[in-house]
Amino acid sequence: MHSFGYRANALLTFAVTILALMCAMASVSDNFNSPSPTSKVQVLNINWFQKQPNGNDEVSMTLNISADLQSLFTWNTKQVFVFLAAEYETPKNALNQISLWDGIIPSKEHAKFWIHTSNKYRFIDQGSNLRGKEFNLTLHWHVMPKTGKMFADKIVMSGYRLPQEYR
Amino acid sequence: MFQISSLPSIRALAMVLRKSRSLSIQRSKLKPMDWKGQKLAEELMQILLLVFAVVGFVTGYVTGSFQMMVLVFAGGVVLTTLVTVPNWPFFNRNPLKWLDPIEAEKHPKPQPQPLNSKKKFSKK
Amino acid sequence: MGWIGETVDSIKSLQIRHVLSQAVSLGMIVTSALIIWKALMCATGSESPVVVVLSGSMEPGFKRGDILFLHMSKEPIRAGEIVVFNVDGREIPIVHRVIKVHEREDTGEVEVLTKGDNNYGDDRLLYAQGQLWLQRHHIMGRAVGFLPYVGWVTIIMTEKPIIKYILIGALGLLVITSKD
Repeated sequence: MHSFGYRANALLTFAVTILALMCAMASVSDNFNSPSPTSKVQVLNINWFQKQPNGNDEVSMTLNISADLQSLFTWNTKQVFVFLAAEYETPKNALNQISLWDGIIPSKEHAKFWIHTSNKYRFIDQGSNLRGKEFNLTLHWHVMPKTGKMFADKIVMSGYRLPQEYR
Repeated sequence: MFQISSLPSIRALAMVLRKSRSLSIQRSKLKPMDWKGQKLAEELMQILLLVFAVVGFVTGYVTGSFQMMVLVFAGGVVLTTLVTVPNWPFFNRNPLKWLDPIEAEKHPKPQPQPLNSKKKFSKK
Repeated sequence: MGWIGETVDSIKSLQIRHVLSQAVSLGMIVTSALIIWKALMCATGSESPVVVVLSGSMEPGFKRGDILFLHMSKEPIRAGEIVVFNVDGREIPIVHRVIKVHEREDTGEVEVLTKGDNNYGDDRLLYAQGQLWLQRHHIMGRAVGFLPYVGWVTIIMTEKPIIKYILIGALGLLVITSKD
Protein backbone atom coordinates (compact mmCIF):
# COMPACT_ATOMS: atom_id res chain seq x y z
CA MET A 1 0.00 0.00 0.00
CA HIS A 2 2.68 2.43 0.96
CA SER A 3 4.27 2.34 -2.45
CA PHE A 4 5.99 4.92 -4.60
CA GLY A 5 2.79 5.82 -6.43
CA TYR A 6 0.76 6.04 -3.25
CA ARG A 7 3.19 8.48 -1.70
CA ALA A 8 3.45 10.56 -4.86
CA ASN A 9 -0.33 10.72 -5.01
CA ALA A 10 -0.65 11.70 -1.35
CA LEU A 11 1.99 14.39 -1.80
CA LEU A 12 0.34 15.81 -4.90
CA THR A 13 -3.10 15.88 -3.28
CA PHE A 14 -1.77 17.60 -0.20
CA ALA A 15 0.26 20.08 -2.24
CA VAL A 16 -2.71 21.05 -4.39
CA THR A 17 -4.93 21.42 -1.32
CA ILE A 18 -2.38 23.72 0.27
CA LEU A 19 -1.97 25.71 -2.94
CA ALA A 20 -5.73 26.24 -3.09
CA LEU A 21 -5.65 27.35 0.54
CA MET A 22 -2.81 29.78 -0.19
CA CYS A 23 -4.76 31.28 -3.09
CA ALA A 24 -7.82 31.64 -0.88
CA MET A 25 -5.71 33.37 1.77
CA ALA A 26 -4.22 35.68 -0.83
CA SER A 27 -7.74 36.58 -1.90
CA VAL A 28 -8.73 37.19 1.73
CA SER A 29 -5.69 39.41 2.26
CA ASP A 30 -7.11 41.79 -0.36
CA ASN A 31 -9.78 42.76 2.16
CA PHE A 32 -7.17 44.43 4.36
CA ASN A 33 -6.45 46.93 1.63
CA SER A 34 -8.55 50.05 2.03
CA PRO A 35 -8.09 52.02 -1.17
CA SER A 36 -8.47 55.77 -1.46
CA PRO A 37 -8.61 56.54 -5.17
CA THR A 38 -9.23 60.02 -6.49
CA SER A 39 -10.50 61.24 -9.81
CA LYS A 40 -11.50 64.38 -11.65
CA VAL A 41 -13.42 64.67 -14.89
CA GLN A 42 -14.10 67.75 -17.01
CA VAL A 43 -16.41 68.04 -19.96
CA LEU A 44 -14.34 70.22 -22.24
CA ASN A 45 -16.66 70.49 -25.20
CA ILE A 46 -19.97 69.27 -26.61
CA ASN A 47 -18.89 68.29 -30.12
CA TRP A 48 -22.36 67.82 -31.43
CA PHE A 49 -25.81 67.14 -30.06
CA GLN A 50 -28.68 65.99 -32.20
CA LYS A 51 -31.81 63.97 -32.54
CA GLN A 52 -31.47 60.81 -34.59
CA PRO A 53 -34.09 60.07 -37.29
CA ASN A 54 -35.54 57.35 -34.99
CA GLY A 55 -36.17 59.91 -32.25
CA ASN A 56 -33.32 59.17 -29.87
CA ASP A 57 -31.02 61.93 -28.69
CA GLU A 58 -27.32 61.48 -29.27
CA VAL A 59 -24.49 63.59 -27.96
CA SER A 60 -20.76 63.59 -28.54
CA MET A 61 -18.44 65.25 -26.07
CA THR A 62 -14.79 65.74 -25.32
CA LEU A 63 -13.67 64.69 -21.85
CA ASN A 64 -10.62 65.21 -19.74
CA ILE A 65 -10.28 62.38 -17.23
CA SER A 66 -7.63 62.25 -14.55
CA ALA A 67 -7.46 59.66 -11.82
CA ASP A 68 -5.13 58.12 -9.29
CA LEU A 69 -5.97 54.47 -8.72
CA GLN A 70 -2.61 53.32 -7.36
CA SER A 71 -4.02 52.37 -3.97
CA LEU A 72 -6.25 49.75 -5.59
CA PHE A 73 -3.30 47.56 -6.47
CA THR A 74 -2.27 44.78 -4.11
CA TRP A 75 -0.02 41.79 -4.65
CA ASN A 76 -3.01 39.76 -5.81
CA THR A 77 -4.16 42.23 -8.46
CA LYS A 78 -3.88 41.24 -12.10
CA GLN A 79 -5.43 44.32 -13.58
CA VAL A 80 -7.91 47.08 -12.92
CA PHE A 81 -10.64 47.76 -15.41
CA VAL A 82 -11.76 51.36 -15.21
CA PHE A 83 -14.61 53.06 -16.99
CA LEU A 84 -16.49 56.33 -16.95
CA ALA A 85 -20.26 56.15 -17.18
CA ALA A 86 -22.87 58.86 -17.59
CA GLU A 87 -25.79 58.19 -15.25
CA TYR A 88 -29.14 59.97 -15.37
CA GLU A 89 -32.84 59.52 -14.86
CA THR A 90 -35.59 59.97 -17.40
CA PRO A 91 -39.36 59.75 -17.01
CA LYS A 92 -39.27 56.34 -18.72
CA ASN A 93 -36.18 54.89 -17.08
CA ALA A 94 -35.32 54.99 -13.40
CA LEU A 95 -31.67 54.56 -14.26
CA ASN A 96 -29.64 54.95 -17.40
CA GLN A 97 -25.98 54.04 -17.34
CA ILE A 98 -23.98 54.68 -20.46
CA SER A 99 -20.33 53.86 -20.59
CA LEU A 100 -18.42 56.65 -22.31
CA TRP A 101 -14.84 55.54 -21.96
CA ASP A 102 -13.02 52.56 -20.53
CA GLY A 103 -9.49 51.32 -20.10
CA ILE A 104 -7.43 48.52 -18.66
CA ILE A 105 -4.70 49.35 -16.20
CA PRO A 106 -2.18 46.52 -16.18
CA SER A 107 0.01 47.64 -13.29
CA LYS A 108 0.46 50.10 -10.49
CA GLU A 109 2.87 52.22 -12.53
CA HIS A 110 0.10 53.03 -14.98
CA ALA A 111 -2.54 53.68 -12.34
CA LYS A 112 -2.03 57.46 -12.18
CA PHE A 113 -3.13 58.85 -15.50
CA TRP A 114 -4.92 61.56 -17.34
CA ILE A 115 -6.50 61.28 -20.72
CA HIS A 116 -8.04 63.68 -23.17
CA THR A 117 -10.64 61.91 -25.27
CA SER A 118 -13.97 62.09 -26.97
CA ASN A 119 -16.48 59.50 -25.87
CA LYS A 120 -15.48 56.01 -27.01
CA TYR A 121 -19.01 54.59 -26.97
CA ARG A 122 -22.00 56.41 -28.38
CA PHE A 123 -24.00 58.40 -25.87
CA ILE A 124 -27.54 57.66 -27.04
CA ASP A 125 -30.64 58.02 -24.92
CA GLN A 126 -33.69 55.79 -25.18
CA GLY A 127 -35.95 58.60 -26.28
CA SER A 128 -35.50 62.33 -26.48
CA ASN A 129 -34.78 63.48 -22.96
CA LEU A 130 -31.25 64.81 -23.12
CA ARG A 131 -31.83 68.53 -23.68
CA GLY A 132 -30.90 70.38 -20.51
CA LYS A 133 -30.50 67.03 -18.73
CA GLU A 134 -28.48 66.98 -15.56
CA PHE A 135 -26.29 63.88 -15.25
CA ASN A 136 -23.62 62.31 -13.10
CA LEU A 137 -20.30 61.13 -14.36
CA THR A 138 -19.25 58.06 -12.39
CA LEU A 139 -15.81 56.53 -12.47
CA HIS A 140 -16.21 52.81 -11.85
CA TRP A 141 -13.39 50.36 -11.33
CA HIS A 142 -13.34 46.61 -11.35
CA VAL A 143 -10.35 44.97 -9.70
CA MET A 144 -9.49 41.61 -11.25
CA PRO A 145 -7.41 39.45 -8.93
CA LYS A 146 -4.88 36.81 -9.84
CA THR A 147 -7.11 34.41 -7.96
CA GLY A 148 -10.23 34.83 -5.90
CA LYS A 149 -12.87 37.46 -5.43
CA MET A 150 -13.31 40.44 -7.71
CA PHE A 151 -13.87 43.89 -6.28
CA ALA A 152 -15.74 46.83 -7.72
CA ASP A 153 -16.43 50.34 -6.53
CA LYS A 154 -16.99 53.84 -7.91
CA ILE A 155 -16.67 57.58 -7.45
CA VAL A 156 -19.73 59.63 -8.34
CA MET A 157 -19.15 63.12 -9.70
CA SER A 158 -22.32 65.11 -10.06
CA GLY A 159 -23.35 68.46 -11.42
CA TYR A 160 -22.91 68.06 -15.17
CA ARG A 161 -25.56 69.42 -17.51
CA LEU A 162 -26.21 69.06 -21.20
CA PRO A 163 -27.07 72.14 -23.29
CA GLN A 164 -30.69 73.19 -23.85
CA GLU A 165 -30.48 73.21 -27.63
CA TYR A 166 -29.22 70.77 -30.26
CA ARG A 167 -26.06 71.83 -31.98
CA MET B 1 27.16 4.17 7.10
CA PHE B 2 25.17 3.83 3.93
CA GLN B 3 26.15 0.20 3.46
CA ILE B 4 25.44 -0.71 7.02
CA SER B 5 22.01 0.77 6.99
CA SER B 6 21.07 -0.46 3.55
CA LEU B 7 22.22 -4.01 4.05
CA PRO B 8 19.47 -5.06 6.44
CA SER B 9 16.88 -3.54 4.18
CA ILE B 10 17.99 -5.69 1.28
CA ARG B 11 17.96 -8.74 3.52
CA ALA B 12 14.52 -7.84 4.71
CA LEU B 13 13.39 -7.37 1.14
CA ALA B 14 14.71 -10.76 0.13
CA MET B 15 12.92 -12.43 3.01
CA VAL B 16 9.85 -10.50 2.24
CA LEU B 17 9.90 -11.76 -1.33
CA ARG B 18 10.26 -15.32 -0.18
CA LYS B 19 7.44 -14.83 2.26
CA SER B 20 5.23 -13.28 -0.33
CA ARG B 21 5.32 -16.44 -2.39
CA SER B 22 4.01 -18.52 0.45
CA LEU B 23 1.60 -16.06 2.03
CA SER B 24 -0.15 -13.87 -0.50
CA ILE B 25 -2.39 -12.29 2.12
CA GLN B 26 0.48 -10.34 3.54
CA ARG B 27 1.67 -9.10 0.18
CA SER B 28 0.41 -5.60 0.78
CA LYS B 29 2.69 -5.05 3.72
CA LEU B 30 5.80 -6.00 1.91
CA LYS B 31 7.41 -2.80 0.76
CA PRO B 32 10.91 -1.52 1.27
CA MET B 33 9.88 1.27 3.61
CA ASP B 34 9.36 0.01 7.14
CA TRP B 35 6.49 1.06 9.36
CA LYS B 36 8.33 3.80 11.19
CA GLY B 37 9.78 4.95 7.89
CA GLN B 38 6.31 5.27 6.41
CA LYS B 39 5.12 7.33 9.33
CA LEU B 40 8.23 9.47 9.14
CA ALA B 41 7.82 10.00 5.39
CA GLU B 42 4.19 11.00 5.79
CA GLU B 43 4.89 13.43 8.61
CA LEU B 44 7.93 14.82 6.87
CA MET B 45 5.89 15.39 3.72
CA GLN B 46 3.16 17.29 5.54
CA ILE B 47 5.52 19.35 7.66
CA LEU B 48 7.79 20.28 4.74
CA LEU B 49 4.87 21.31 2.53
CA LEU B 50 3.28 23.37 5.29
CA VAL B 51 6.57 25.11 6.09
CA PHE B 52 7.15 25.94 2.44
CA ALA B 53 3.57 27.17 2.12
CA VAL B 54 3.99 29.54 5.06
CA VAL B 55 7.42 30.72 3.87
CA GLY B 56 6.10 31.21 0.35
CA PHE B 57 3.05 33.14 1.51
CA VAL B 58 5.08 35.43 3.75
CA THR B 59 7.77 36.14 1.14
CA GLY B 60 5.11 36.69 -1.49
CA TYR B 61 3.17 39.05 0.72
CA VAL B 62 6.24 40.99 1.84
CA THR B 63 7.73 41.34 -1.64
CA GLY B 64 4.26 42.02 -3.04
CA SER B 65 4.69 39.35 -5.67
CA PHE B 66 2.20 36.55 -6.21
CA GLN B 67 4.62 34.84 -8.55
CA MET B 68 7.23 34.67 -5.78
CA MET B 69 4.78 32.78 -3.56
CA VAL B 70 4.00 30.24 -6.26
CA LEU B 71 7.68 29.78 -7.12
CA VAL B 72 8.74 29.22 -3.51
CA PHE B 73 5.94 26.71 -3.03
CA ALA B 74 6.73 24.92 -6.30
CA GLY B 75 10.36 24.60 -5.19
CA GLY B 76 9.13 23.23 -1.89
CA VAL B 77 6.98 20.62 -3.63
CA VAL B 78 9.92 19.45 -5.75
CA LEU B 79 12.18 19.21 -2.72
CA THR B 80 9.56 17.37 -0.69
CA THR B 81 9.04 14.94 -3.56
CA LEU B 82 12.76 14.22 -3.69
CA VAL B 83 12.96 13.73 0.06
CA THR B 84 9.85 11.70 0.83
CA VAL B 85 8.81 9.77 -2.29
CA PRO B 86 11.83 7.53 -3.11
CA ASN B 87 12.65 4.63 -0.81
CA TRP B 88 15.66 6.17 0.83
CA PRO B 89 17.54 3.85 3.21
CA PHE B 90 16.93 6.58 5.71
CA PHE B 91 13.32 5.34 5.96
CA ASN B 92 14.32 1.78 6.68
CA ARG B 93 16.15 1.99 9.96
CA ASN B 94 13.65 -0.22 11.78
CA PRO B 95 13.13 -3.15 9.42
CA LEU B 96 10.64 -5.77 10.45
CA LYS B 97 12.29 -8.81 11.94
CA TRP B 98 10.81 -11.70 10.04
CA LEU B 99 11.38 -15.20 11.28
CA ASP B 100 14.21 -16.86 9.49
CA PRO B 101 12.64 -19.16 6.87
CA ILE B 102 14.84 -22.01 8.03
CA GLU B 103 13.55 -21.41 11.53
CA ALA B 104 9.99 -21.51 10.26
CA GLU B 105 10.52 -24.71 8.34
CA LYS B 106 11.73 -26.40 11.48
CA HIS B 107 8.34 -25.95 13.08
CA PRO B 108 5.84 -26.61 10.28
CA LYS B 109 2.31 -25.77 11.16
CA PRO B 110 -0.42 -28.34 10.59
CA GLN B 111 -1.90 -27.92 7.11
CA PRO B 112 -5.60 -27.28 7.79
CA GLN B 113 -4.84 -24.67 10.42
CA PRO B 114 -4.19 -21.59 8.18
CA LEU B 115 -7.08 -22.50 5.89
CA ASN B 116 -9.51 -22.56 8.79
CA SER B 117 -8.31 -19.23 10.04
CA LYS B 118 -8.54 -17.84 6.55
CA LYS B 119 -12.13 -18.95 6.21
CA LYS B 120 -13.06 -17.33 9.48
CA PHE B 121 -11.46 -14.17 8.24
CA SER B 122 -13.47 -14.06 5.07
CA LYS B 123 -16.76 -14.83 6.76
CA LYS B 124 -16.38 -11.96 9.16
CA MET C 1 -12.33 -32.93 0.05
CA GLY C 2 -15.14 -30.86 1.54
CA TRP C 3 -12.88 -28.11 2.78
CA ILE C 4 -11.55 -27.39 -0.72
CA GLY C 5 -15.04 -26.63 -1.95
CA GLU C 6 -15.66 -24.50 1.10
CA THR C 7 -12.49 -22.55 0.49
CA VAL C 8 -13.36 -21.99 -3.13
CA ASP C 9 -16.76 -20.76 -2.07
CA SER C 10 -15.29 -18.42 0.49
CA ILE C 11 -12.88 -17.01 -2.04
CA LYS C 12 -15.68 -16.55 -4.54
CA SER C 13 -17.86 -14.77 -2.02
CA LEU C 14 -14.90 -12.66 -1.03
CA GLN C 15 -14.38 -11.55 -4.59
CA ILE C 16 -18.02 -10.69 -5.15
CA ARG C 17 -18.05 -8.76 -1.93
CA HIS C 18 -14.84 -7.04 -2.90
CA VAL C 19 -16.14 -6.06 -6.31
CA LEU C 20 -19.38 -4.86 -4.77
CA SER C 21 -17.63 -2.72 -2.20
CA GLN C 22 -15.43 -1.23 -4.89
CA ALA C 23 -18.48 -0.49 -7.01
CA VAL C 24 -20.16 1.15 -4.03
CA SER C 25 -17.12 3.30 -3.32
CA LEU C 26 -16.94 4.30 -6.98
CA GLY C 27 -20.60 5.24 -6.80
CA MET C 28 -19.93 7.27 -3.68
CA ILE C 29 -17.29 9.30 -5.49
CA VAL C 30 -19.61 10.04 -8.42
CA THR C 31 -22.61 10.91 -6.25
CA SER C 32 -20.62 13.10 -3.88
CA ALA C 33 -19.37 15.09 -6.86
CA LEU C 34 -22.98 15.44 -7.99
CA ILE C 35 -24.05 16.52 -4.50
CA ILE C 36 -21.39 19.22 -4.39
CA TRP C 37 -22.45 20.51 -7.80
CA LYS C 38 -26.14 20.62 -6.86
CA ALA C 39 -25.36 22.29 -3.54
CA LEU C 40 -23.38 24.94 -5.39
CA MET C 41 -26.35 25.45 -7.70
CA CYS C 42 -28.60 26.03 -4.69
CA ALA C 43 -26.14 28.30 -2.92
CA THR C 44 -25.42 30.54 -5.89
CA GLY C 45 -28.83 30.44 -7.49
CA SER C 46 -27.20 30.01 -10.85
CA GLU C 47 -27.89 27.28 -13.33
CA SER C 48 -24.19 26.61 -13.82
CA PRO C 49 -22.23 28.05 -10.89
CA VAL C 50 -18.84 27.44 -12.45
CA VAL C 51 -18.01 28.19 -16.07
CA VAL C 52 -14.84 27.85 -18.11
CA VAL C 53 -13.75 30.73 -20.32
CA LEU C 54 -13.51 29.49 -23.90
CA SER C 55 -12.63 32.58 -25.88
CA GLY C 56 -10.12 35.37 -25.60
CA SER C 57 -12.66 38.16 -25.86
CA MET C 58 -12.10 39.27 -22.25
CA GLU C 59 -8.30 39.23 -22.33
CA PRO C 60 -6.19 40.16 -20.53
CA GLY C 61 -8.65 39.81 -17.64
CA PHE C 62 -9.85 36.31 -18.42
CA LYS C 63 -7.88 33.99 -20.63
CA ARG C 64 -8.99 30.78 -22.27
CA GLY C 65 -8.99 28.04 -19.67
CA ASP C 66 -9.72 30.22 -16.65
CA ILE C 67 -12.60 29.39 -14.34
CA LEU C 68 -15.28 31.84 -13.27
CA PHE C 69 -17.59 31.47 -10.29
CA LEU C 70 -21.04 32.80 -10.95
CA HIS C 71 -23.65 34.16 -8.64
CA MET C 72 -27.24 34.93 -9.49
CA SER C 73 -28.80 37.28 -7.00
CA LYS C 74 -31.90 39.43 -7.13
CA GLU C 75 -29.80 42.58 -7.16
CA PRO C 76 -30.22 44.68 -10.27
CA ILE C 77 -27.62 44.51 -13.00
CA ARG C 78 -25.35 47.50 -13.26
CA ALA C 79 -22.79 48.71 -15.75
CA GLY C 80 -19.32 47.25 -15.31
CA GLU C 81 -20.43 43.88 -14.08
CA ILE C 82 -19.27 40.81 -15.93
CA VAL C 83 -22.29 38.71 -16.82
CA VAL C 84 -22.81 35.35 -18.45
CA PHE C 85 -25.64 35.39 -20.94
CA ASN C 86 -27.33 33.13 -23.42
CA VAL C 87 -28.36 34.53 -26.76
CA ASP C 88 -31.40 33.00 -28.47
CA GLY C 89 -30.22 30.56 -31.11
CA ARG C 90 -26.75 30.13 -29.63
CA GLU C 91 -25.82 27.19 -27.51
CA ILE C 92 -22.68 28.39 -25.80
CA PRO C 93 -23.09 31.11 -23.16
CA ILE C 94 -20.94 34.22 -23.44
CA VAL C 95 -19.07 36.03 -20.67
CA HIS C 96 -18.87 39.78 -21.30
CA ARG C 97 -19.00 43.09 -19.49
CA VAL C 98 -22.09 45.30 -19.28
CA ILE C 99 -21.46 48.76 -20.73
CA LYS C 100 -24.95 50.23 -20.94
CA VAL C 101 -27.97 49.81 -18.68
CA HIS C 102 -31.48 51.19 -19.03
CA GLU C 103 -33.80 50.32 -16.19
CA ARG C 104 -37.52 50.95 -16.59
CA GLU C 105 -39.20 53.22 -14.11
CA ASP C 106 -42.48 51.25 -13.86
CA THR C 107 -41.61 47.58 -14.28
CA GLY C 108 -37.98 47.52 -13.21
CA GLU C 109 -37.13 45.63 -16.37
CA VAL C 110 -33.57 46.17 -17.53
CA GLU C 111 -32.13 46.44 -20.98
CA VAL C 112 -28.38 46.02 -21.11
CA LEU C 113 -25.69 46.12 -23.74
CA THR C 114 -22.50 44.10 -23.33
CA LYS C 115 -19.03 44.16 -24.79
CA GLY C 116 -15.93 42.02 -24.48
CA ASP C 117 -12.97 43.94 -23.07
CA ASN C 118 -10.78 42.73 -25.89
CA ASN C 119 -13.32 43.23 -28.67
CA TYR C 120 -13.40 46.34 -30.76
CA GLY C 121 -17.14 46.83 -30.89
CA ASP C 122 -20.10 46.01 -28.70
CA ASP C 123 -22.00 42.73 -28.79
CA ARG C 124 -24.95 43.67 -31.03
CA LEU C 125 -23.41 41.59 -33.80
CA LEU C 126 -23.43 38.54 -31.52
CA TYR C 127 -27.05 38.98 -30.50
CA ALA C 128 -29.92 37.45 -32.42
CA GLN C 129 -30.95 39.18 -35.64
CA GLY C 130 -32.41 42.58 -34.87
CA GLN C 131 -31.89 42.27 -31.12
CA LEU C 132 -30.59 45.50 -29.64
CA TRP C 133 -30.63 44.80 -25.91
CA LEU C 134 -30.29 41.87 -23.52
CA GLN C 135 -33.14 41.34 -21.09
CA ARG C 136 -32.97 39.92 -17.61
CA HIS C 137 -33.95 36.42 -18.73
CA HIS C 138 -30.95 36.16 -21.04
CA ILE C 139 -28.57 36.55 -18.13
CA MET C 140 -27.48 33.42 -16.30
CA GLY C 141 -25.35 35.01 -13.64
CA ARG C 142 -22.61 37.45 -12.84
CA ALA C 143 -18.98 36.57 -12.29
CA VAL C 144 -17.83 37.06 -8.71
CA GLY C 145 -14.65 34.99 -8.44
CA PHE C 146 -11.85 33.80 -10.59
CA LEU C 147 -9.37 30.94 -10.73
CA PRO C 148 -6.71 30.72 -13.44
CA TYR C 149 -5.76 27.74 -15.64
CA VAL C 150 -7.89 25.08 -13.90
CA GLY C 151 -10.40 25.03 -16.76
CA TRP C 152 -7.83 23.65 -19.18
CA VAL C 153 -8.67 20.20 -17.87
CA THR C 154 -12.21 20.42 -19.20
CA ILE C 155 -11.15 22.13 -22.43
CA ILE C 156 -8.69 19.34 -23.20
CA MET C 157 -11.26 16.72 -22.32
CA THR C 158 -13.97 18.15 -24.53
CA GLU C 159 -11.64 18.71 -27.44
CA LYS C 160 -9.76 15.43 -27.18
CA PRO C 161 -12.36 12.88 -26.00
CA ILE C 162 -9.83 10.03 -26.21
CA ILE C 163 -7.94 11.47 -23.27
CA LYS C 164 -11.18 11.59 -21.31
CA TYR C 165 -11.90 7.91 -21.92
CA ILE C 166 -8.34 6.90 -21.11
CA LEU C 167 -8.49 8.88 -17.88
CA ILE C 168 -11.86 7.51 -16.83
CA GLY C 169 -10.76 3.98 -17.69
CA ALA C 170 -7.52 4.32 -15.73
CA LEU C 171 -9.33 5.77 -12.72
CA GLY C 172 -11.96 3.07 -12.79
CA LEU C 173 -9.30 0.39 -13.06
CA LEU C 174 -7.41 1.91 -10.16
CA VAL C 175 -10.47 2.02 -7.94
CA ILE C 176 -11.52 -1.54 -8.77
CA THR C 177 -8.07 -3.09 -8.41
CA SER C 178 -6.95 -1.16 -5.35
CA LYS C 179 -6.78 -3.31 -2.23
CA ASP C 180 -7.70 -1.07 0.63
